[in-house]
Amino acid sequence: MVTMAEASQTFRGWKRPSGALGIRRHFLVIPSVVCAAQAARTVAEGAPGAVAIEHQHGCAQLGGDAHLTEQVLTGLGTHPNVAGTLVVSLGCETVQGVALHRSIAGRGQRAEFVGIQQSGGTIAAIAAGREALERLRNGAASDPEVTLTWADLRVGIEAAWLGIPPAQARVFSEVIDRLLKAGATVMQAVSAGRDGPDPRPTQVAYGSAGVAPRDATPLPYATPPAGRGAFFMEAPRSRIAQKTGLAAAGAHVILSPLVEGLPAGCPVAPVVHVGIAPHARPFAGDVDVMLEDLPSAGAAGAVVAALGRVCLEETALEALGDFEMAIHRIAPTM
Amino acid sequence: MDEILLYRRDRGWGTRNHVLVLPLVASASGVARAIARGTDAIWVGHEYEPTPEDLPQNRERIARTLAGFAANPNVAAALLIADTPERSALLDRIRAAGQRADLVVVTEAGGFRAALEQGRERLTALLSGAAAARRERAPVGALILGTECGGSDALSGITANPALGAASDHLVDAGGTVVLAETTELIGAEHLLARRAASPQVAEEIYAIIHRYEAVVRAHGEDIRGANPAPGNIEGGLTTIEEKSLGAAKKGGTRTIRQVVEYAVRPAAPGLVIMDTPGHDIEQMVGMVAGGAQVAVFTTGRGTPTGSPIVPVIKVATNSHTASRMQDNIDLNAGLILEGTETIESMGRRIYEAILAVAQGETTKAERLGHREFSISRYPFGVLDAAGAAR
Repeated sequence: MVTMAEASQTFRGWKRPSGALGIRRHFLVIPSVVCAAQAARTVAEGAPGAVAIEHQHGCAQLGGDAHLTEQVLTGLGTHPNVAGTLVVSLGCETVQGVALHRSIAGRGQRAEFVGIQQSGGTIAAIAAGREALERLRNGAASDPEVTLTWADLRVGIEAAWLGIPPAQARVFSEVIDRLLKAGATVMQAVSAGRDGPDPRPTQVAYGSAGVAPRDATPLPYATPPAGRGAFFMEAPRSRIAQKTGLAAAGAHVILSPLVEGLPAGCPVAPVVHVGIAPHARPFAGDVDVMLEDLPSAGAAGAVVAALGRVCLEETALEALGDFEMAIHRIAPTM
Repeated sequence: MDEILLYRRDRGWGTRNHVLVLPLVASASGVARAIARGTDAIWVGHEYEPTPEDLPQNRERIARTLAGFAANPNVAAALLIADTPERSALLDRIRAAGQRADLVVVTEAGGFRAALEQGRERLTALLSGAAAARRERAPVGALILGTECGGSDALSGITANPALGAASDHLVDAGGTVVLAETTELIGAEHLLARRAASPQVAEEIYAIIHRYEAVVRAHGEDIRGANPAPGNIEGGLTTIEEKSLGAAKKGGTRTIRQVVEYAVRPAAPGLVIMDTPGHDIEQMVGMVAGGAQVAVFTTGRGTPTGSPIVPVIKVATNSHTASRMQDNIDLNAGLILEGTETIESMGRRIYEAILAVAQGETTKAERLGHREFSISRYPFGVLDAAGAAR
């Protein structure tokens, strides 16, 4: 049985020029639009520490929906685990790469910009992008290494556990209690119960176990909390879009209860997968902690320990460069 | 030339001989990527995770898209990657369409590693089957051409789009099929298109798909301006969606409009057809490819680099500046029309010849750069029902 005492209490981290404290040194390559994704991916290929995100948006979006995409991309670009961000833009898109770069740099992040149309095509843009990444890496070399505690970290939790049987759900309540007691900030995604474009207002639906703790502060999707403590974030039903929203709000590490689907990583934050029986039983080898129908007494401790472990070590999905992205959309594609 | 060399499939003729690894849900993308890595197979990733709240119409639209994409004649065989066994219905649908296909269910296999092993084995069998395919003589009329414009500017409607329209007319006259799409970019040109409809019913359908999109935008309390034309279109000299549309509609040429098809639906007969797709470049391309297009022409003013994982996309610049500045990405320069060295008709002929050459194996710049954009499109059916809009 792993107890809280055995779980790591301090973590290696870095202090960014903005003052943010991160547990990874990623160099994020963000396409401002799907049309720039191929160039972004090629720029990141083989570059040490570089992670290219891939998404299918940034153009043919209506006003509020385009703003939300920009907000998510800005959140990822300014994530504390990111030591430097390169925005790769096409040039003619709705979510303008120049503005995205400005908003990321404006928040104190080390940032660079490359435009494909401006550079004169994909090959020229890739060459310019590689040089920009090199500049980001050189700049980040001076970020001081610091020792972090749970009080410096934000933990994001996906919503799926809210609907599971009480015996398993209690493990998550206990994990949240322990994290809060250790001083961590906990952001709990709460699904609004629908996906996809639909402008009608919805009620936040609470699962049988309820949001823990009940006095958590509400937070809009992909919005960094103003302070510490417990928050619940309004989120869509897609767990991958939840993960992206939690990351865009600055979650250093994400806890993913697997009631459906398969493990999926996140470009900027390590993910701890908790397999929920019976769904996850067939692929129990792929999850960090497995919760049987009647979880053992040490289950919560094991989950907290796994969270601590991934703060210190690269996860299997990170080593594979394996992660998924989905941005919540509030209006249809035009 | 009435005959060209293509790959014979049970469901038409292919211009390419790809083997596709297709995840059915977003969280299977990692397994798909790992299985395809280091092989000759093409894999795609996407963001779709089914949820209980998905509207049945969208479920069907997405299933149709995945099935149509995997069964496109450019795909010799497809390996589907699913999380759970419930999704095997799509395998049956793809096989029923006459496609060689196999499935790996990650939970049944017993996790990532086991799925990877099983997937590699099944993929190897599909790849060796595909390697035996040879090009055969096929009628030009077997081609379904997808037409698209992206990053449009003030010259799109003057040079590249009318030239592509001339090429479209050649293909239709040769017995082929041309798909005109991106409904949002036909707004304002519907009366001209409706006049060319094969029947009053087709004319009515043209109005219906356009009014449907406008109703959606209104239901969101938004203005289509800002989303379309996009900032780059405006910088390129386009002032309104109507102006953009009048140019965009020229891609399809001047022949009779035979049919209006829903997103990702294969046209029932040859000739010029309209497919109801968003203007979003990737969602549009995926819809046309899922509807059976084996080759595409994409005109661009500002220089859009995107392609398709399984279909060759020929890029035509509207102006010489973009053609030379973005030469990594542009295959043909319709800006020469403006310079007086080409006419719309001669440029149309060149585009038509490029379509035939590319169909027979010549690679496009988007293919050489490895472009493989893919996206799942949803339609706001719920909004339409709520708004009680024309349907």
